[in-house]
This record gives sequence, structure tokens and C-alpha cells, in this order.
Amino acid sequence: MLPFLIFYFVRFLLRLHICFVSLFFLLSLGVPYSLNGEQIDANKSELTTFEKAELKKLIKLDFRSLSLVSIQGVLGYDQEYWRNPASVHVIRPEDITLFGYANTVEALRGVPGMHVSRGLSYDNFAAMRNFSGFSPQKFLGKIGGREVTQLMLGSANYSVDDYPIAVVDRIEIVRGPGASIWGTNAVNGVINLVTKHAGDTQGDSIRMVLQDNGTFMGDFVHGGQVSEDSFYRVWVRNQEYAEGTLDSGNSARDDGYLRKVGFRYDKELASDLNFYIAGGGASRRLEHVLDFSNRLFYSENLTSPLVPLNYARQGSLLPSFHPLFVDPSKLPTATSFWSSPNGSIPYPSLLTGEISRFERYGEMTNDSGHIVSKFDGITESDFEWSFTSAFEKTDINMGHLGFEWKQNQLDLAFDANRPFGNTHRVSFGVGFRRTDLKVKSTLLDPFNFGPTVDLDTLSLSSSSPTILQYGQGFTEFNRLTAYLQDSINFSDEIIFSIGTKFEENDLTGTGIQPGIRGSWNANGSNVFWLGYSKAHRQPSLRERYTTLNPARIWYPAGATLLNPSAGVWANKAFAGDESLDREEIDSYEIGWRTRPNEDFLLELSSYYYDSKDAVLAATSLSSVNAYEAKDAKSFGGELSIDWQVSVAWRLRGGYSLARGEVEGERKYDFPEQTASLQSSIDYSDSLTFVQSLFYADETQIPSDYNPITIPSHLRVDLGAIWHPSANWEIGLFGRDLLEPYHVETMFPGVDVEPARVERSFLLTLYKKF
Amino acid sequence: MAEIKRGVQVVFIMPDSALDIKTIRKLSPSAVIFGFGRDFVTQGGGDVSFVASRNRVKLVLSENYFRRTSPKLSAKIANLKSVVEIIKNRSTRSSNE
Repeated sequence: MLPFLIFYFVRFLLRLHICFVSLFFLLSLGVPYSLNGEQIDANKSELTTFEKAELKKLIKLDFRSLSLVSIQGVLGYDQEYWRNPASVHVIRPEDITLFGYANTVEALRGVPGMHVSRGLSYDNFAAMRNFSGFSPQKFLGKIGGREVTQLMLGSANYSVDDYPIAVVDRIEIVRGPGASIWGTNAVNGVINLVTKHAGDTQGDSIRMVLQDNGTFMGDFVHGGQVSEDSFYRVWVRNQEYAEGTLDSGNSARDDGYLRKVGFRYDKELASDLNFYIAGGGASRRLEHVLDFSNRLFYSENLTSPLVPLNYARQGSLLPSFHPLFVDPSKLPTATSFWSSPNGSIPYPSLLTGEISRFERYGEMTNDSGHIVSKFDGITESDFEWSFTSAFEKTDINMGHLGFEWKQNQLDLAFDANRPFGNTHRVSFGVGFRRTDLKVKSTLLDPFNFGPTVDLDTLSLSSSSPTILQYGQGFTEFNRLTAYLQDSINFSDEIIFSIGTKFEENDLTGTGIQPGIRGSWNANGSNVFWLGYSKAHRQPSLRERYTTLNPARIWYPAGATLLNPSAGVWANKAFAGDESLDREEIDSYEIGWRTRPNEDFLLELSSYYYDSKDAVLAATSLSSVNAYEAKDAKSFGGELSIDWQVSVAWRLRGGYSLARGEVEGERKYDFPEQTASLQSSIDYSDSLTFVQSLFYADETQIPSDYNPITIPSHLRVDLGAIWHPSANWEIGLFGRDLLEPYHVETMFPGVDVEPARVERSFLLTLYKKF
Repeated sequence: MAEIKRGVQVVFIMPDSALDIKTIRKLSPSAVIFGFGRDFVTQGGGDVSFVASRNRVKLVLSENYFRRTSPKLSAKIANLKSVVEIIKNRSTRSSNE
């Protein structure tokens, strides 16, 4: 009998026309008639194609999920998304398992406007639209109710913060700034991963992913009921990364592990008063490399141009009167390191065209834990509110750089909305964040050159500086935010939203981020929308307060044959730039969403971004700071389709164009064109075949000595999923089938070369709840 | 009318329907009768109604509904306190009070 109720529940929820729904439902059950005193004719249905598609989606939900759907909502992104004046994409957990993605980040590969690239075995990089750079991803990440974008690096680690697919309800991807609701750092967009209510994860679920190279991931989730209105779940994950290969064929030394645990407890405290508390912990152990190849230079008088010092030819190989002779007594403790290059690598600006390759691996650890709680309720006057608190403790040690930070972070947020009359719904909220840091820099042995001259002050320090030095005066940060937004229904066809977010924080001071958006439901099958937003991004602590000391310069300083020890080492420092103010972006967006029938959806969106003081990494040794603020412009658009070709065949695809200029110069750090096409065919009730095509244009990775071009690449994945029973799913997938390997990305300045993304085969086993 | 007499399982009464609950009960005693508004169950004697309250859709169920043999509703639905209100013996008392 439950399907009956769900159906009518949905019907009422949608405020749909009763004739159509009654007929639709009753015919599906073999019941000949509904009853309103008249014979029903389905052709008289006044449901729009968008509503029919929405009905199909809602009817698959269970009662608990349906009960959470608002009748009338804030013009946000969680309901009636087809009316939203923004570019929204929603990924469901079944999309993730259907295409054999190991985790949620990989699933972003099929989202138009997003570029997912793989570096080493444990990381996928996600960038959105343009100027995303590498570490600073410039979009806001929210996972399980908490903001996961880290203050230190300005990015999120989605591999560490990931959840088992079985507890994921959906991932909302909002392209473009949604500043008035989401606030700072939602410059290029928002990724919001929402987890399920514990009551929806009852029983046991297992998922295992095994790759042919030995990489393994296993999740186990158990959920139970404490009382009639309280539920819990606990889960564990183990992920083992097998070692991969670098582009040159060298070992990538990227094997390691990630282990995670988590829980959630939900309770209905009273009618329309709910509470949940959730938490988790993660521990990851890996190795990462630091490129030392271009760290040593020679300078005759400290102001002359820097000459790369090929250290392998130093010491006993050169006579002491040679201009490039380095006094052996001034060598670092780890002399053996500099005497043993690992071959050579390209160095285009030298006549020789190459230079000795020096690299050092260090352990990179990540230990973190968090706890989140939320109360939410609705009053008789439809005042809907929630109070969320989150505490997170993180310890990240980048052993390859000698840089470690421990962070405690507290978030408090109150959000609310309520209707005013029949046309207005006002949403508002306040939030507070407190971040405390302890940062520690360690001098790596190969870079310990003893007494070193500071090139800025020309003073001699008794010791070498660390590679990364953090200004210890900046370890406590407060952020206070508030927002106000009114969603106005001018008519059934026209909706507008106007609002602003206010923010006061210790990094960038006070800021206002206004936005206005509107949508026009032209005829039930075509929706046009447009929007303007002003958004801010605060520089990361790394960009603002960290000094980078990547180079040592040998200065003979009057050394002669008789007095070779007069030479000194000098330090070339790139300071963080405290003058980096917030990055501001004016964004203009326009879009069209059409559904000529309930089985076909086409969306087109276009944007123009005008960025002031965009923070970009400096790539030249002649730069003063490690990061520079420059004005930038970018434009582009996305086209996406979702087509249920037949009962058994579904096609989804997208195309994205993204073009950007920094101070008039065209940039290629983001592929100008990306495209995807994904198909799923139900061969039978228990067997499904999937195919995926992904294309990305060429990109360029900047470097201070050897810029790397990532060629355009086309990826083809094929898979077969067998459902031996309703709850079991067994999949076999082949990925990157067109070529043995290609490269996609690397960390500039840290990695020596990109790693291979190799053809791989995966076996997945998934037992659903 | 003739169709109802032959027997139906579910009847959904629209607000503008010419037929009322008593008439339908007489014609098809085993049918589950759906409608709108709390009064549909508390006053009118309907089985299930939908109400819009606190920006959500909620269900009002007659306790009698759980005693039926067919069609029957799982008692688990009663656990969803925020969504479901159960009316005892066609009185106005609810299980949430």
C-alpha cells in the first residue's frame, strides 16, 4: 500500500493537476478508474514536461525523503532545480556506481564545466570553469554539512573528505558564484555533498573496488534503529593505493593508504524538530616528491643574472679557481644527495637543453577528525530554521617540504527562512568561524647550507632558511558572516531573487557580496534565466603569509685560489604577499533550459567573469612574491543533455568552452574545451552496459624552468553491471581503453614530471541497503 | 458509478467532486478513500488526507486504516512523526498529542 501513499504524496507535493496524476497512477496499478465524477482523459493533462519529469523523479523517493521536500523554497538549489536561475547539476549515488567511479571526485568528470584530472594514484584534481589553477581550486566545497575548503591552501582534499557512496544522498554542483547564499570562496561555484538521514541507511552495505594494479577500496556501512524515532549508522573505509609510474617510466612512489571511520545519529525530537550528530576521522600516509633540480644558482655579484648551477659538476670536478667552483666546506650536510642526480631532465633555456635531476621524497601525512551537529525545525508560521555546529581537528605534515600545520576549526551557523505573503520568501542567516593554527617548518637536510646571506637585507644568517616559512603572527582567524535574500514570485512564470552576504574576517576585512537572479518559465517546457553576482575569494594563508625559499645562490664573494672559503650561499626568498586583498569577481550569467518532452533535457549556460586581483602563482625567479594579484577576464559556456532515448537507453553529455585572459594574455591552465558523453543501456533487468567518452583540450602547466604541455586526450571507458539480486551490483569496468597511458596534471614547482594515467580495469562489488 | 459498484481499491476525491465519502463507502466499502485537508479524516470519515503544514506535505491517517485487511498500510509509516498524524477512532485526538 505504500506506493499508493507515496504517489499521492508526490502529487500533492507538486500541486499537480489531479486528473493526470490519478490516471497515471491508477493505470499503472491496473485500477481502471479514479473518481471525480467524470471520465478522465490523460490528454487533457496540464502537466508541463518539466513537471512530468519531476514527478518521475519524486515518485522514486521514499516517504522520509519526500517529507523533507519543501512545498515552497528559497530560491536556492535544492528543489525544483529546473526553475533555478543558475547552472545546476546533480549527481546521484547510482550515477557513481553505475559508471564505476571509485569515489565522488571521479564522478565530477561527467559534469559540464568541470575538469577533473588525475595526478598521482591517490588524488584527482577538480577545477571548475576557469582560472582554477592547481592548488587553489576557487570553488567552495561543502561535504556532509561542513565547509571543507582549507584555509591554509585554499583548496579541499576530496579524497580524504570523501564518504562511502552508500551514505551519499546527492552531490549538487552549482556552476558560477552563488555568493548571496553561499558566500566567500564560491567564486567559480559550489560543490555540496549531502549525506543521507541515518534512517535511510538501515542494515548493512558493502562496496569494494579492486583495480588491476592492486589499488583497493572497501567500504562497510551498518545502520540500525535505536528507538522508533532515532537511528544510527557507523562506517569504515580502507583504501590502499598501488604504486604508479611517472611519464618518464620512473616509479612514482605514490603507494600508500587512507583509512576512515564515521558515524551519524538522527533523532526526531518532536514533530518538526530534528537533530543529528555526525563525525568521522581519517588517516592517510603517502610519499610525495620535491623537485630540487632548479634550486641552485651561481651569481657573480648577487645582482647579476642567475646561472643554474649544475651541482653534479662541482666539488672535485672543478679547479678552485673556476668561476663555478663551490667551496666543499660550504656544502650541505647531505652532500651525497647533491652528488647523486637521478639522471637529467629538460631545461629548455640552457644551451645543453637539460640539467641534472635532483628529487627528494618525504612522507606526507594527513590525520583529521570532525564532528557536526544540527538542529532543524519549522514553526506553525512556516518559519524554517536550523542551527549547525562543527568542529574539526586537522594535522597535515608535508614532509617533502618540511612544512606541517595543525588546525582546530569551529563553525557555528544559524539559517532560517519564512514566507511573507504569497509572493515573498525571505531567507537569512549568520555564521561564525574560528580557526587556530600551529605551523611548523623544518629544514630539510639537502637544503641545509649553513650560514646564508639574505638577498633582501644582505645580512648573513647563521643558518639556512626553511623552504616554506610561515609568519607565526597569523595563527588565529575569525570570520563572521550574515546573509539576507528575498525570493519573489512575481507570477507562476517569473521568479526573482535578490540578496547579499556580509562578511567580516581577519584576512580581508569587511565585504559585501550582492547578487540578483531571475528565471522565466516561458511555456512550461522552456525556462530562461539570468544572474549577476559579485563574489569574493579570500587568499589562502599559503598565498598571503608564507615565504617560499626555493633557491640557494652561490656567490664567490672574492674567493680566490688562495682563499676559496670566502664564498657564501645566498637565499632567494619569495614572500607571501600581505597586500593581496580579496579577489573580487563580477559575474554575468545567462541560461536556457528546455524539455521538449519529459525524456529529453537540454541546458545551455553562458558566463562572463571580470576578476579583479585574481591571485595567481608567480612562475619566474625574477618575481618578487610567490603569488601575484592580476586582473583577469574569462568567458565561456556549457551545453548539456540528458536524454532517455528509450526505456532501456539513457544518454547524457556535455560540452564546455572556457577561455581566459590574464592582463590581456590568453591562458591555458584550464582546457578551453571539454566534452563528455555517457550512455547506459539496460540489456535486461539484471544486466546494464555503460560507455563513457571524455575529451579535454591541451593544457599548460607553468614551471620556472620546464613548462609542461599536457596534450589533449580522449578517454573511453566501458563497463558491464550485473544485478544478481535487487540489492547486489557487480561491475566490471575498463578505463582509458584507447591508449596504454596519457598524462593529465602535476603539481607545478613540486613534482618533477606528471604521472601516467594508465589503462586500467576495475571490479566492483556493491551490496546496497 | 457503475464502475465503482464493480469494486475499486483506491478512490481519490477531488475538492470539487460531486460525490462524497458516504456515497463512495456505500458503493465500494473496501475502497481506501483519499482526499485533502485534515477535516477529510477527522470530520468526513475519509481514510487518508494530505495537508500542507509548515512548508511540508503531511499525511493524516485514520487509525482504522491500519486495521484493514486489504489494502493495508505498513505500521512503519507511523514512525515518521514529522510527516504523519494518526487520528484515533475518527476523533480529533492525534497520536502526536
